[in-house]
Amino acid sequence: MTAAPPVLEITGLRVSYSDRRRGAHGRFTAVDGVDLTLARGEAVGLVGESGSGKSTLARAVVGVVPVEAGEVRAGGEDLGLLRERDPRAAARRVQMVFQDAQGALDPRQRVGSALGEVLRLHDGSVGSEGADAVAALLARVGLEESHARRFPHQLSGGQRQRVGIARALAVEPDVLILDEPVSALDVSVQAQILTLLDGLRRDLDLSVLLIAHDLAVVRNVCHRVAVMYRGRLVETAPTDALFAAPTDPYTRALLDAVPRL
Amino acid sequence: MRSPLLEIRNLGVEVPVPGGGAAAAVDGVDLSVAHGERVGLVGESGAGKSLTTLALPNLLPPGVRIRPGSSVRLDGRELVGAPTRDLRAVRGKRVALVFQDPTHALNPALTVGSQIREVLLVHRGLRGGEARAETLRLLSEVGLPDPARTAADPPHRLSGGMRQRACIALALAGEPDLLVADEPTTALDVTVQARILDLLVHLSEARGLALLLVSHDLAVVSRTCHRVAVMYAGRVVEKGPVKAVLERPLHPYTRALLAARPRLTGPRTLPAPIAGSIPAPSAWPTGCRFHPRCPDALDRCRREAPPWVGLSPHRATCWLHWEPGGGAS
Repeated sequence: MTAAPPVLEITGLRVSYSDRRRGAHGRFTAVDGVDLTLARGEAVGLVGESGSGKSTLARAVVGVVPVEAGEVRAGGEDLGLLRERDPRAAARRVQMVFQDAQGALDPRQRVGSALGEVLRLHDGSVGSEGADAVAALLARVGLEESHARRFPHQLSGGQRQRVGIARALAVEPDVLILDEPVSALDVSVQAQILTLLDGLRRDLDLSVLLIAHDLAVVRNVCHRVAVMYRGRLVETAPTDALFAAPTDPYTRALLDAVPRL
Repeated sequence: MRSPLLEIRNLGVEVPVPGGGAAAAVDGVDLSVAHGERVGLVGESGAGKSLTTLALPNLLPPGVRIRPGSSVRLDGRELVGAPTRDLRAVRGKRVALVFQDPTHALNPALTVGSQIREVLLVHRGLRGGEARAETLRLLSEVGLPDPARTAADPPHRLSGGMRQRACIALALAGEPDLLVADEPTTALDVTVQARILDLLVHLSEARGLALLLVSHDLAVVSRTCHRVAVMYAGRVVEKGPVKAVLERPLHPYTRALLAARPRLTGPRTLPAPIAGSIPAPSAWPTGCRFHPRCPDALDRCRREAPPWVGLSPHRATCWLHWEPGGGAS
């Protein structure tokens, strides 16, 4: 029996930026040879401080920043090549949700119309069929039909984050990458969003890459945790093992920093 | 006994309601902070925490006003209704504020040093070499590695954590007795957050500075404060020593906030969300304002405002702990 290829397979990924502080042709390597694999239905936490390269890694995977070296494969296919050939098919493989849902939504567009647009592009549902699909999508993320008529500024931070997740789900992706989805939210709302993510992963057999700076956030929803420091993964381990016996000093420093009750 | 540094009694803050009228977003808050004491003010967005702190030196936004009958005393002196000139002397000098977003608290067009020197001139009359020396001393006191260079930098050259340290230096420049910090670490990495909280504790101990720390996260307060007040829908619902409140929370809201915090130890279960959110001030529920979200609400909770229960100094407003002729006082 051959196992199905992983839904996401990152090999030797390298991303760098030009950086004039390092001289005329100076470059800063933000992601420096990262290997990371995601199986179907698996949740992996990617943890590190600002500047560790975790957001850049995510952006490179979804094609927002160019890959300098290495490979990103989704379901066995090169994601970069697929994106050139069939952008919509590539979008169905991996979707990204950003920290600031406010900035990621058009302030002049009602929630329903924003979601309807993505659905139309994805599977051509229009008219009443489209409205039903929008309602189903809102229900999926724990919102009500009436939220479709709201503008982003009329929603709370948690509701906006739900809309961001709904928009990503509209194309029925295999993988959801979430960049600090809860760090701007109240503790009580963080728990709501983490519970939602866990439910979606189970119900839809979704793979989740959850990016956070706080190890406590990933502990209860992720199977594995990868710790990133200065562009490299310094430790990748099953969640229980990582918390019980962190091997890297940086992982230990991150654990010590989490405020305890 | 020395009177508390800050004593808030029956504070009400009214906000305009869409469609006319006003509603009390802060509704009868009592809170005191002793000299050198560190007190946490905890609750979700919409609880009224920030309006409470802005009411102290009356920095409330236009249209928002302090309700008659409110009292805010600093060292025994009433600030509510005090002339603007007197309030200006309090702000920055006796009470300094540090906000969540250090980017917006600093003037992007001026160097860090010149902003601190301005406070030194206004509040302490320092100028020239004296002001420059004091600026470097302050920047070094808040743990900035290269004070001379930081003083010459505009804010955007600094990282988020360094910017928050610069804001704290700016707040200390007037030699305040009370530092009010509103979610000072929420926008920062956990590692940076831990260092900033440790800095606040250190400064409080070294200078005898009192701290009022506002946060949505009980864990942040637990790392930092002596006492905590938990706010819900414009009111304080539980208060007491941090250890007592965290170990034996009385109010179901405090328990819910604790259960919502993802844990680093113990079974790997999902944090428990609190369903719903705090309603708008114009729609505060009757009885106990938490009752629509409370898993243990009794009939009485829906009708009557709960009394204070528990033994001083750890108390809460909740019917569940009330015994006729007993707990209430």
